[in-house]
Amino acid sequence: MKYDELLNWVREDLIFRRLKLEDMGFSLDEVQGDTILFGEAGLSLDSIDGLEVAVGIEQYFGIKIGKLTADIANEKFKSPQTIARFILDLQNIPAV
Amino acid sequence: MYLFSTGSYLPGQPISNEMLAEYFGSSVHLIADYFGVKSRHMAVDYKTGKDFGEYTSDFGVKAAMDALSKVPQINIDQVDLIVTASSTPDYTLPSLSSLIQEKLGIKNAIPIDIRGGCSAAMQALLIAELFIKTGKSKTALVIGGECCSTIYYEFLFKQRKSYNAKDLLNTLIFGDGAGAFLVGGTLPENGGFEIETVNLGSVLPDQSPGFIFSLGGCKEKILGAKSVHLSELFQHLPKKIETNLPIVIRAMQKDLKSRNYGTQDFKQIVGPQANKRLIDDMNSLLKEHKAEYFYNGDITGNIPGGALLLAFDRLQQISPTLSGDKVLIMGMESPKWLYGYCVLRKQ
Amino acid sequence: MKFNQKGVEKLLKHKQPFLFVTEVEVLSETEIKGTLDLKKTEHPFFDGHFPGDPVMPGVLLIEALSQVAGIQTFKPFLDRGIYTLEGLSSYLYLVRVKDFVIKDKIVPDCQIDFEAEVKPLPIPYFFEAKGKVMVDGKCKATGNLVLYSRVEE
Repeated sequence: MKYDELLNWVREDLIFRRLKLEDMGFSLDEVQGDTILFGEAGLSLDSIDGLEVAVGIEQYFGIKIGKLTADIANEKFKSPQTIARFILDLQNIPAV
Repeated sequence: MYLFSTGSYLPGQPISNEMLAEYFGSSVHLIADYFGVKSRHMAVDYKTGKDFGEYTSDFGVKAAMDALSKVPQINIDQVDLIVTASSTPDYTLPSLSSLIQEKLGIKNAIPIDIRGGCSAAMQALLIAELFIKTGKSKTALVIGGECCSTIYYEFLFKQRKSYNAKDLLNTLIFGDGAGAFLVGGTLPENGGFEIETVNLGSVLPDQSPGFIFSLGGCKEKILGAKSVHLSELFQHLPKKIETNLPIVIRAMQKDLKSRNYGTQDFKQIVGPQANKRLIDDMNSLLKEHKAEYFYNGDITGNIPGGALLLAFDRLQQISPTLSGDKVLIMGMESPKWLYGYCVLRKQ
Repeated sequence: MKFNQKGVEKLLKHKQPFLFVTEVEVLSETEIKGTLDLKKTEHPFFDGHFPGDPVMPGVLLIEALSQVAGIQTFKPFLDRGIYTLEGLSSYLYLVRVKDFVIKDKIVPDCQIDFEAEVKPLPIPYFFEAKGKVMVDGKCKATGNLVLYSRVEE
């Protein structure tokens, strides 16, 4: 998948749809590439949402993340952009 | 009040993460490792989702028989009170305690159900204490147990090719089983424990829940409901738990202090058997006690109503409390921010 | 999973005066650590080994390590919630000392710490145990043993 396509998948399918953000009162526009997802400064998603993101990636791409380390949860999952880059790294594909 | 003996029961064999990963994929490891659970026991066949035919009342009966078998000088007919703690009874009615009474064949006993989560066993123990201290009961069974898998596993199994983490995580972190305490007013010859005190606290009654388990009620309608999504059955709110649980623990420590229990008083602590990261957080709050913290939730899963009783029974098999030493059993509940604890002294 | 003295006594047929484990902690599928609170007054052999100069006999360090490792061979039963040998027919024998090097003497009274990695061998009921013996964090001995361990229900 190309980076832009991947970023869109992350924003729309992985974050917005899978995490049911519409039910939480968010609109898709509020999930931009650089939106901070976790913590008070961002969309305030929680640790279980983090697990959901990891499982979503594993299921869709058939790849293994293995362990949800603090680095992955806090850094790699910071925003849709960092998630897209993380997925490309997992597949050993350089970002555009 | 005295603790004569304890018992426990876990159905079937341990179901490991590897076994579940065969059907649900490697995400099992991602989720289970995050919570620190390696295996659990289930009342269903994990390969098909079909019930084995044993439920919470049956687990409770087996745990009770286990406890009774250790004190042969007490006849089962002497039991005059059965108090149960569970959020997953076989039915809404008849009550879990009366079903257990029937299955144990006890003619004259008062059955009382406590419905609750991780501190329900202590609520049940407190009820038993009140009965015994007022002379309304001489010998009581306090039984805590859960059977979660039969509620949702088959449903989850059918969608095992694609599921949400929120659906799967409940299978991984919860477990089925039961524990039992046989208590009474007069200590029999085998020793046992004196139960020095049982106390409860409702710390944040005005705060919204940290965990919701909805299986239908007069407000939460099930009859004719549109398809219920599995993750709606159990709702975890980790941020609330992270914020409020330390407050509950501190309230409990304050309660202990007000009753003159100091940090050096306990040799062993049996605490919540919920996910490991929660325990690790609590350990840092509790480490001033310098007691041995017994945790076996990684191999039993979290069995809310039964965890404390079962863990204490297992502790007595693994590292039996020495004569004169004290044990603290404590439960914290996140559906509504409660604590419940008891202090036992080995005779 | 930590077993205190009483818990340990239920997991070994060995009894005083030939029980050389005080507590154990089962760490994983293969790893175990244990302690022995060694007190001169509890072991008459110190009167002879040696008079006025008590030293823990090397052969008893081998025995202690084999007892700690022996408990680990019981792991499948621990996983099933069975924490006692009572009611079971059990056999635990030291079969071979492949290697045991004592680097420094151990003098009572002290706490001896054992670490062992125990793995099944291709022959049923035989296990290999590689271990370390330490006092105050210093390695006093290392060993490589073969045990025979069988439990019948």
